[in-house]
Amino acid sequence: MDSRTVQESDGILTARVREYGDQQAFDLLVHRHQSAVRRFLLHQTVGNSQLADDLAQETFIKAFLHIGSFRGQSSFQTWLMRIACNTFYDHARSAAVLADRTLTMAADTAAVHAAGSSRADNYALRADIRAALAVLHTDERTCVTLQMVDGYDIASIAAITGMPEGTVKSHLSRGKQKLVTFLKNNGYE
Amino acid sequence: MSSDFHEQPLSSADEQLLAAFFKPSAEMEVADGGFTDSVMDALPAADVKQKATESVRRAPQFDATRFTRWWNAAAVAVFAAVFVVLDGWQLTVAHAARLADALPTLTVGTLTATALSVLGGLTLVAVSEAVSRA
Repeated sequence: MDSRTVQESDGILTARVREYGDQQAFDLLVHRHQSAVRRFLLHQTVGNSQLADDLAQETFIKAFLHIGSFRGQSSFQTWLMRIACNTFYDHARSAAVLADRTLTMAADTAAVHAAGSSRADNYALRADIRAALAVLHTDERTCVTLQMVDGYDIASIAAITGMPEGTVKSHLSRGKQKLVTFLKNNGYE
Repeated sequence: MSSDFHEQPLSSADEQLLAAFFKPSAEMEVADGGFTDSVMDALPAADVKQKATESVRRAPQFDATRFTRWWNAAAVAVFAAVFVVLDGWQLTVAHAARLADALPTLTVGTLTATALSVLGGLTLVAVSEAVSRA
């Protein structure tokens, strides 16, 4: 589909929600963008799909409540991703200790599955990705996945995360270097 | 973490390694599986209240319009009945003839009073119409 058409459609739908509280229009927006938002949060939570869905639901509710502040200066999806990013960071701050433990356990478990594996079936690959993401700092993971998984450029990542572009570049560089090292240590070449 | 970490660009081979590694993630589509419905169910009731307020606001407008139509129809029916019972056409013709005869002798005060009574009637009709459209 033409991206301009999608953008215009999002603009019309958001206007209907903003002006008339049109729930049917918001239903269409949620259905259209749920995959990207949930996938992003799934990567940030290192594969915790239940937590990712809870955060995604919170993201869409915040979007509905604050849709009046969406001015169309960025795409609706970029605006949503910024809300998702803030929602995740709020959660991570409030549950920092528990999150660190969970991530460490996930990394240890997944690394066992990943070691020596040269065949990447879907399940094993997802475990590999979880293990790889778990070695990254939260900011690095956010920047790397926004670029490598969601396809955003540096300026968009800066807009979503609220970080200066230089900081984004720094996180990308460090994060990617850590990932390459991790992958090579686990049999990827 | 490692504060002495050196930032350096990745080699082309390393970039390709990462791109291939994340390719399944980039292509992953998360099936809705009832997620949208759960979001819609969880939306706060504020919007429902807003919709209810709008419908309540619309309802009196519809009732007012319908009431005005019935009121006007009833007034026309009563007027027509009175007109027939009192032989209104004959009265109108006789009154017009008398007015034509007396017109040259009418004073300014009498004409003004007649004009004001007509304007008053029109004002009442206009106010009724404005209220029904408000």
